[in-house]
Amino acid sequence: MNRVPFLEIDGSLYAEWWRDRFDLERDPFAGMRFYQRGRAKIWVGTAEVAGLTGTRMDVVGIHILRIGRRFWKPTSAAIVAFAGGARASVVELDRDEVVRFLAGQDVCLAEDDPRRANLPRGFLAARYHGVAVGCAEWHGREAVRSLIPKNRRIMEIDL
Amino acid sequence: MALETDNLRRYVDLIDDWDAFASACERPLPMVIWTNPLRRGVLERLNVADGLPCSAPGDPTGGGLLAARLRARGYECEDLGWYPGAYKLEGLSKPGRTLEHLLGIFHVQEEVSLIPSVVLAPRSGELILDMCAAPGGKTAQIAVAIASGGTVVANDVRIDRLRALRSNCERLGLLNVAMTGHDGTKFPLDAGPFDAILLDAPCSCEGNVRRGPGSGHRRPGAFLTGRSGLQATLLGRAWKMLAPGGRLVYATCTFAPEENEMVLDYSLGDDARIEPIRFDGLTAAPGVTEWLGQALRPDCAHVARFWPHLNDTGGFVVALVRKEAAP
Repeated sequence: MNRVPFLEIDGSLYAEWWRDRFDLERDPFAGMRFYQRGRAKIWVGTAEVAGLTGTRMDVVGIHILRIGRRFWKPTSAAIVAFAGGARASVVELDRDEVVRFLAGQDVCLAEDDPRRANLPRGFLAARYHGVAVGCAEWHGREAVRSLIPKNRRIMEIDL
Repeated sequence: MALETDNLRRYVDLIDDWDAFASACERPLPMVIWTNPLRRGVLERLNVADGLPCSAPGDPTGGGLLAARLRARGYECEDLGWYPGAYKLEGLSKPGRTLEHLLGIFHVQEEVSLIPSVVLAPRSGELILDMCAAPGGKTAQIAVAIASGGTVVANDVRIDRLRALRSNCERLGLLNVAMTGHDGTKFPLDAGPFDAILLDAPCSCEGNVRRGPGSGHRRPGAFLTGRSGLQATLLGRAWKMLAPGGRLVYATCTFAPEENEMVLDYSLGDDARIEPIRFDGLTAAPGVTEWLGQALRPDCAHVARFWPHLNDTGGFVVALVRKEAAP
């Protein structure tokens, strides 16, 4: 679990990308520290770990982003925590759709679905009742893919 | 179950009312949840959308909003009274299947297991170590209490249990937690000193007798010899990392004095003081100062023993130890 070092980095690039991607009014990461493990994984936290030199640091805070490929991929945990106020890259789900989405199933968008108009390709915040519930993937085809991690999926949700 | 209660007969002299104890051990445990104040905004938005109450002045956790939500779905919520935003829940057999749980609005945690973090009384700005942290309920309580400033280092030696810890921290949105995977007995000394340390030591889990068999845990209710050595080593290590004037909470979910008072008696020196635990809303029995003919430190009387029948909970034993400030 600890083969790759966990390093504090300057996260302004990622904070800016996040705010821009979801068109947020405020920077949700103000006052936080960013960390990177390996080439692609970005974490954010507020833990004061400066005094912990020498400790085998496995994880600080929350894993928020995978970078390095064509589309940067936010984690579902980060979407819930930091993309609630999204005004872009967000797909609103209705009750039946959120049930499918949280079970890890695709949500179909019909050809004439007005939601298609405003969706950029890549990764989106899925929202239900005004609350961000997880990360979705969209490439302009027939369905929005659910990226709810397997261990978080709820097969028979009690909504 | 009766067999498991028989295993506990060795404590008959420590228990004020054996029949009440034995009958409590036969009953299943009530489910308890606590509301995560860090997700209050999410909860308010959900309640607005569903036409439920969305503001509750004087309720910083948002527990009242969550209770209104769950009641509207037909579940019974009874306020625990002594822990803000915590409720006994009836009717909801699979809390993990709710949207509220997925969004980190609440956490399921046994009532007695809420106690150690409260006894630790974390303060903003402190550096706190949770030495045997997984699956993370107590870590989460501490992290939420010092969300405005301060850090929790949550350690656990087992990688599978660390995964559960990480998963819970991410679900609850805890940003001020650093997780480490050390063997607690060899935790690097230069990581300290810590202002406060929670040592919820691995134990025989006798206090889990009410969870019954098939709960995914080892069959509870039998005192194991051989845990005391590990507990003493962990406590010794923790003591070295505790700042002068700092607080250490030693807790187990087992009744055996061999794993509680005797570990404290063996490990603690003159620079330690076991302090009385003031606790409103729950009844505790005093600690043991003599066991199997051996006299223990007199301040072991300040250890708090939460027997299952006293508050209709699981079993827990908690000690608050203060390290003398440097002269």
